[in-house]
Amino acid sequence: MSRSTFLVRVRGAVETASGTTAATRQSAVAGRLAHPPRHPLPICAKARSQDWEKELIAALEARGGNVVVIPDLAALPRAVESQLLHEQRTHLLVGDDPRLAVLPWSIPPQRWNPAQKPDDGTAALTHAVAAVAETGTLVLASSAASPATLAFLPETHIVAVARDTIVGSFEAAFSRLRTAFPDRLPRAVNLVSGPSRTSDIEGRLVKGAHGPRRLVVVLYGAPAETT
Amino acid sequence: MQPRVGLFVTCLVDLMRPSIGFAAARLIEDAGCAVTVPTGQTCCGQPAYNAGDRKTARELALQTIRAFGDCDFVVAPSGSCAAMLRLHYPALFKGQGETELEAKAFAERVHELTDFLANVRRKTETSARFVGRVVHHDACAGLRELGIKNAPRRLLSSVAGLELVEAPETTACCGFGGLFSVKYPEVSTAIADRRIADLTSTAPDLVTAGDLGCLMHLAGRLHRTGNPLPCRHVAEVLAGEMAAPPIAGRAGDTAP
Amino acid sequence: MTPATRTFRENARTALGDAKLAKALGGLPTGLVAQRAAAKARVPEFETLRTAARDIRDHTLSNLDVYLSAFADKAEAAGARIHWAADAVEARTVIAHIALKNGARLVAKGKSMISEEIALNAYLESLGLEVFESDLGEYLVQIRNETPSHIIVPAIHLSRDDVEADFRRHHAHLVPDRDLSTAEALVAEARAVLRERFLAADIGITGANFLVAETGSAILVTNEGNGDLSAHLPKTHIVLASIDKIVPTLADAATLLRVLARSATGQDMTAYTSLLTGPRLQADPDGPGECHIVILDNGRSEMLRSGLGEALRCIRCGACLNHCPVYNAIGGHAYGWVYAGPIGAVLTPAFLGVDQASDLPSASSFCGKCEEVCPVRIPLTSLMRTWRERSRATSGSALQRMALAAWSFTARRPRLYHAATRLGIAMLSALGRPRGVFRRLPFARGWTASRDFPAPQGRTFQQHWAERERGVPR
Repeated sequence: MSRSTFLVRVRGAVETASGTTAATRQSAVAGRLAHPPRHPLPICAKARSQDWEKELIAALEARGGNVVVIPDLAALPRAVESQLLHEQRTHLLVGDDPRLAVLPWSIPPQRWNPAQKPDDGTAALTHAVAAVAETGTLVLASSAASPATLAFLPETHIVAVARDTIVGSFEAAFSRLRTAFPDRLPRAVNLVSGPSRTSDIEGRLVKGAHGPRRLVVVLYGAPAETT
Repeated sequence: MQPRVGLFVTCLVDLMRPSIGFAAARLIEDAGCAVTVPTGQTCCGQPAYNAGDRKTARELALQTIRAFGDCDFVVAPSGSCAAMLRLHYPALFKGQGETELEAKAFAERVHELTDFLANVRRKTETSARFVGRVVHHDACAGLRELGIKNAPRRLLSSVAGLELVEAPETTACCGFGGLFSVKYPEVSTAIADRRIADLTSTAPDLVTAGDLGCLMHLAGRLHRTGNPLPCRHVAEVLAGEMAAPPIAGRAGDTAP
Repeated sequence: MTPATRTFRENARTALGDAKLAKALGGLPTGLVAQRAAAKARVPEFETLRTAARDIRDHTLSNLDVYLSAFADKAEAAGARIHWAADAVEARTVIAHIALKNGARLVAKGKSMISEEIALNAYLESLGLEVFESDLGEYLVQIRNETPSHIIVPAIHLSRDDVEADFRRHHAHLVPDRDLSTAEALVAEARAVLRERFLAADIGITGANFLVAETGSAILVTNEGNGDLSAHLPKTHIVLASIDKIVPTLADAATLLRVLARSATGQDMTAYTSLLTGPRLQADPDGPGECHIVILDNGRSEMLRSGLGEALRCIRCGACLNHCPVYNAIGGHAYGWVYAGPIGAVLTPAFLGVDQASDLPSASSFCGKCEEVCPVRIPLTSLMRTWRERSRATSGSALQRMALAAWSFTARRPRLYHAATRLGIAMLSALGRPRGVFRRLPFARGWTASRDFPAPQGRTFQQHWAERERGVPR
């Protein structure tokens, strides 16, 4: 069905139900899109900024994620390698991320070749663009540096998060996305709040349904200056 | 001067168990009010309303509203009927000018019995006595539409010798649901069994509720399954009107 | 699927006799219900969020045509192809067309209730495509040739033993001594099997929890990550979403997400929430080359037009099912079609016609628990009552309709009513009083088949009261 025929039908229904004119609706919608509303926030999204990191870690750990805090990006290879050793993994896949490439790795990670699908037994490392304290959620934006596939196929997903990118609420994370990507969002923005899980068999929680069984979060750098 | 309270008896109490009506009248009088029982009342119209017959529901609503024209308050020993009068009457006449205003003015005067006693008349005590464990079942309409939860409990707690116990699932439905109980008897009964299991897990001596419909359903199921646990309307306990046998009980079965 | 809504009574009876089902559903109070309560308790502002969520939905529905337009513009600008489907046939046809044009053979499916609504799998299979469900619960019902019995827990009716038996029957590679005695082992087996298929799939079809007008994105919420694998791996991704999935902005989505997972599973947030915007970009190493969004009406604009718009607020959390005493007693399949529980009782008559499904809105005790937990405050009982009004002429047995008509005639005439009831009650009481109850009443067999009917005390209250007024002692 054509867009116009389809929308005529919806328009008729909307006008019967709400009794508004097209002009009123156009302006209501334009206003809303230009100025996203500020809805009430729950207390967990309103925490003071000095508590965000604590909140983030607590929420991630509660869902079975591991969190490691390191001083700066230069310390990332050691943290990641010890994690890999701990999990007895040999393969670390990364995207085309210059920030990771320049680091002092003892075994350089393998650049992921999209033609190859990582199997169980591999680990991947990508960077988050932000993290939301409110629910312990990592914000991953797909790009050459951070392919979405790497957040879902490997058995272990390691996510590097700069501490100054931790925000309190979803609204704050979304407004960062708007600033960083003013024209359009990356193809995939993945909000990750823990390892893959299912409760489909008798309500019993099992990790690693399809995606990573393990989620490791490495927080690095100085925290954001609190205001 | 004493407030004039019109007792909306409810059709079930009128037909099945007048002792609840007398208990309610006594409690209202003890709370310093004069009770009147308009003869122009029959049924609140909820069965028609919930069966999708708005026309009959509207006619019964008007009949009820006009029957209670000269009362300061309208009190019903049923959360379900009170919710019908208080919430659904105005909704039935939405957009109908004068009649809607009349329904709204009427609705504001309507109260469920325990709510009226505890929250309008500020009664905190009763002179009744009952020795035993009582579990109170909240009828859904009273609970969720009118928010009646504390009033019956506060009043029951004041009964000498009475130990109030709480079922684990405090807000579960008993499965009565008016015509639902006869249109879908198997489902209705399955829900009753679950509710009964929950209520009896507290080892009560008596089940109370504020709605006779729920009580007839629960008592009828208990009786059918050979469970001697008695059921009574909360008004009977509060007024000490325990001479009649419990619901589904036989004449001579007085305890408790 | 062929609707079995007309046989609701028989379905319900069968379900009530199924001890295994009762055991499976018996986990709800301590499971999803308790988990939601705990999640709500952690958010003191939960009621405020519900109100905000309701207002967002109402605002969107009141401006739906304009938002749909805005969404389509944004999504197209991001490179997605939008398809407008008025009904199930159009949606199936357009999806099949995309699949065949791309030479697809294997289709990965993310969980989508709308695909159940339009019976997509059967249609694609009839064209020679192979379709696999990738949500574990959906996969479990697919290999049994069943349908989901719950919006978010499709296989809630199955036990671990069922799953083991199904896997042994269906997965030819399993050796007999392979240990599948735990949920963990079963999940691992499903993961391995489905991983192979994901890697081979040509097309991914998912639903969408929301479509964001501000950005042209589809939001996909899962715990397993199967929706993401369906969206990221195959060359083509098709999003199938109905018109009511629109939300204006990301800020609006944030509020809805805050109530969605908490209401559904009691999680503060599901493991994965993905905003998918268009196909892969030039610099992207992965992602589908084509992204199609099929926007489906299928009777929804008619619901909006005819005063059932509040039902379109629904965000498919399943809380009304979990808390419904009827659903808890009979499970989802008894409802006879895609959507079960209170929301199913409101949606199904709209999709199938009320003459096909008049039992559904009727089979509710109106306890109101569903409204109490609905994250977008849908007045489910009023909507069910609306359907009862529209189906009144045909609902219930002829005898029940006659009894109701006689009662309503009498009740509107107080003098007649009091005289008639006085007489009737006196007779009934005389018959019943010796035993206190009736074990059988010819006109109330619906009641007395499973419950005794308490005998009336004797005279009516009105009779007694009139005597008291005249000074006669009771």
